[in-house]
Amino acid sequence: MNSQGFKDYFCRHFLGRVKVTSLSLSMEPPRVAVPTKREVATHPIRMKTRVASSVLFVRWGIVCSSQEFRLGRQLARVKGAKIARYVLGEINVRSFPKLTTTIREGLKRALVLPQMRTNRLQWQTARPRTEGEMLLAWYGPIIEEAVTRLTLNKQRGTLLIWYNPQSRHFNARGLYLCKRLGARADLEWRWV
Amino acid sequence: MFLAVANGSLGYIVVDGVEGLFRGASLVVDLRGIPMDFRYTDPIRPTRLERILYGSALETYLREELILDSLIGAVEVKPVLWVCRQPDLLLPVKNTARGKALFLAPTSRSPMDAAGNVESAGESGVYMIQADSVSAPLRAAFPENTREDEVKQTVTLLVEAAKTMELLEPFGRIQKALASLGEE
Repeated sequence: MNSQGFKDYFCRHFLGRVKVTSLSLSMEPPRVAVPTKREVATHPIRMKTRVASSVLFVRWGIVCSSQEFRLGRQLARVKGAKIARYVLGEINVRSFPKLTTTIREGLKRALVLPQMRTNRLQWQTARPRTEGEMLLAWYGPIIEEAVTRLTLNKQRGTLLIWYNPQSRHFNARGLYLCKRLGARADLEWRWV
Repeated sequence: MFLAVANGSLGYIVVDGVEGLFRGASLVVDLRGIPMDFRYTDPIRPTRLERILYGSALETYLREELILDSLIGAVEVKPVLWVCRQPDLLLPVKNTARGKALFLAPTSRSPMDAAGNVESAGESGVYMIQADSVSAPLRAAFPENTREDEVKQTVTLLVEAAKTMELLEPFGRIQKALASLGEE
């Protein structure tokens, strides 16, 4: 160990110092030559031939409406500058028809239909009492002055009423159906 | 008061869908039950394709949008109150007509004390109404959010009308008219 070695040994153990020496590269990094000018060659692939839609759909084009669109019978295929035509047949694409209904006016029909009254005698608390007479039914309310025809449905016990639609009367009344007790007694009507 | 009643009118509306055949009719009557306007639809029978395309929405579309809208739109005499007998039609009728609407049905209950009496039926907007003194109370359902004063106005109208007509009777005439049309 030379004197420098002793010096380093004691410096490291007693002074805590380590000698650091730099090492310089003796070789230069190689130079890479990058070409900065590069030319890009472009070659058009589009055909010079242009086909207008008016040429493709010569006669009809595409017929459009709110309901359908229709292609012509003759379709065209473009091959280079050539337009080949061929008949495919007509294609119709139709929309689905919407559900609809028709409203009809039927006032005349309604005017000839009679109103129906059921027997409400069971609800009548204040019934007229006449000797020798039996109440069978009570029908109401009925506008007596507006009535043009009354018909009793004997099977169902209902009263059918036809009114005059031009009538201006609104005074409602009730109609009793009565039967006199005794032989050969007919039915009687009584307005109340 | 008498003139107001005389000028009043009630509209009855029916939309039926039986065995795949849908149709509807409306009858507007004055307070004596005399017809003022009657409209009906041509019967609609959806095809199989239509049933597939419309799916579960078909019946609602037919009843509410197609038939109801068309009928109410076509009526020329606008009634003071629309009456229906199908509860599911109540709200569509009210919305389409933009007026008063009511569901009305008969009951077999014993009558209340006097005409004009109203009792709650226990459900919101549903009442028992004694329209006259010679019949059982009627069950009436009002659309949601109907104000109390509107209910009172409607009850007053029904009581006035019941003096001169049977309130549910026009439904029978509509059915007869539709039946006769079906036979033609």
